[in-house]
Amino acid sequence: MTSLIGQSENIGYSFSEPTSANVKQHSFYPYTDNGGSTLGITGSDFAILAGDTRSTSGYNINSRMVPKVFKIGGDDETGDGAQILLSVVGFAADGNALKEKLDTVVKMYKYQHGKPMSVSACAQRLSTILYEKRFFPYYVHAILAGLDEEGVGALYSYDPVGSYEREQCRAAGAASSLIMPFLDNQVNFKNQYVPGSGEGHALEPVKAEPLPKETVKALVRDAFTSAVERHIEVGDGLQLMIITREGIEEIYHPLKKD
Amino acid sequence: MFIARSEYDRGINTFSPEGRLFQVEYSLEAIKLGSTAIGVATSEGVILGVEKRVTSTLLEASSVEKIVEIDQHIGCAMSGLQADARNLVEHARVECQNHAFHYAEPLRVESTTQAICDLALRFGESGDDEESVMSRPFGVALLIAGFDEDGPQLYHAEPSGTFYRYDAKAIGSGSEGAQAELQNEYHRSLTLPEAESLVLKTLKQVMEEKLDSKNVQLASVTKEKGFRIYNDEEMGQAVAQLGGNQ
Repeated sequence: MTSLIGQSENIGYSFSEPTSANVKQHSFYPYTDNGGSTLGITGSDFAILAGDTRSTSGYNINSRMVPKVFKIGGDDETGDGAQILLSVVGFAADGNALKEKLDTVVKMYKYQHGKPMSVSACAQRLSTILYEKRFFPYYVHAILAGLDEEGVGALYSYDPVGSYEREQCRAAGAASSLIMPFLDNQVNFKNQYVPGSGEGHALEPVKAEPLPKETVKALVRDAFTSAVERHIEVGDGLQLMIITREGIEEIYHPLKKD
Repeated sequence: MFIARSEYDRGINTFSPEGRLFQVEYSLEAIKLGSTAIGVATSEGVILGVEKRVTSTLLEASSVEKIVEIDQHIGCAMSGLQADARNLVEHARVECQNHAFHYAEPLRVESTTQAICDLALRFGESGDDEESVMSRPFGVALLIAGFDEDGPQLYHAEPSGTFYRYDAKAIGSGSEGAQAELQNEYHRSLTLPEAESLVLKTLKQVMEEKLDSKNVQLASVTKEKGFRIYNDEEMGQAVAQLGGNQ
């Protein structure tokens, strides 16, 4: 046996790391980044969740039609009767597993408690589902959307291990760094000031107010067409889901396929 | 009949030929030996009242605990084997905390009752992967009072695992007389103080000892204050008021 480390060639100093050509590093990397981007914006009586439909691995495109936005807790395969939306971006297999799990939990909740799950309850449950896998996480950025108890649009965004926050808008995924600053400016009116309201620090910031649905729809389309120009992992199609008191409307727009 | 009973009342998982589970029926008898407990639900909240059997002047009355908290918004009164009730209450408390942890909302009263009844039915031989369960049915019945999005509610849970919602319900040794009294006196527009005096008045009628502030215990569940057990001062007031009304 020549591989008895530190015996033949090396004098076994405790501080010297034995190096040997026989040493083989094994690795296990079970995650893939499937690219893509998602985006959510809320209004006073609606919430919009959108995502592109491209799935990539490296420079390859796996598919041009892989949805990232899902209805949660619907009555059947089509998702009819659902009152909660979930978008997942990152590792698609984990995203799918997470969606399936949350969907089951929401359905079981309705059976057990005789009422549909509220978005705030679902938000907390999603957090605990993610944290349960703290040491082998679902490799996804999730966004949850729905209407709160008052009928106001509610949006919750998550990190892969379950930290979450309710927000007005959030972009996630590959092009999030491109879209989020645009949203800060166009939804929360960051760096916008009332013209002629003063000089320097006296300038009055424009107050952010909930935007009308049509404005938000246009913002989402603009955000994605711009992201497609600058990010190779984003493109092919835009899937939009809008939740209102009337239900969930689903829209598809083609995006550039280059 | 009697012969059949002696053959089939040993196994807890064996039906008699008439389709009865005798051990479960006997457990219901254990409750009839217990002290009386009463619950009355109104639109403002629920009142629970129990008789405490202070069997000796040397007994510290405050150590007789027959009304306990399950969560901030739910409490329960018991009649029967108190030690058995502890198991059920512990289970209910864990279920409530679990729900709050997972869903950031309180567990509904009906769901809490259902959770208790799930455990109540888990007697007999346990499955391979099941944790060890009770070898016999629980010998205790609970009156579960709570407040949730559906308003104030009162549930009665039995060792058989069945539960029903009531406007007013009495369990324990004096339950027959007490239930008849509640039937006569209950109406939908009852206020909380009226429910309080109805509970005390009914307890007084069915108790063997003379009712005083030491041998009864009251508790209330309201939207504003959640579940609260009356302290000595409030008990004194309630009992004094009852004396004044009569």
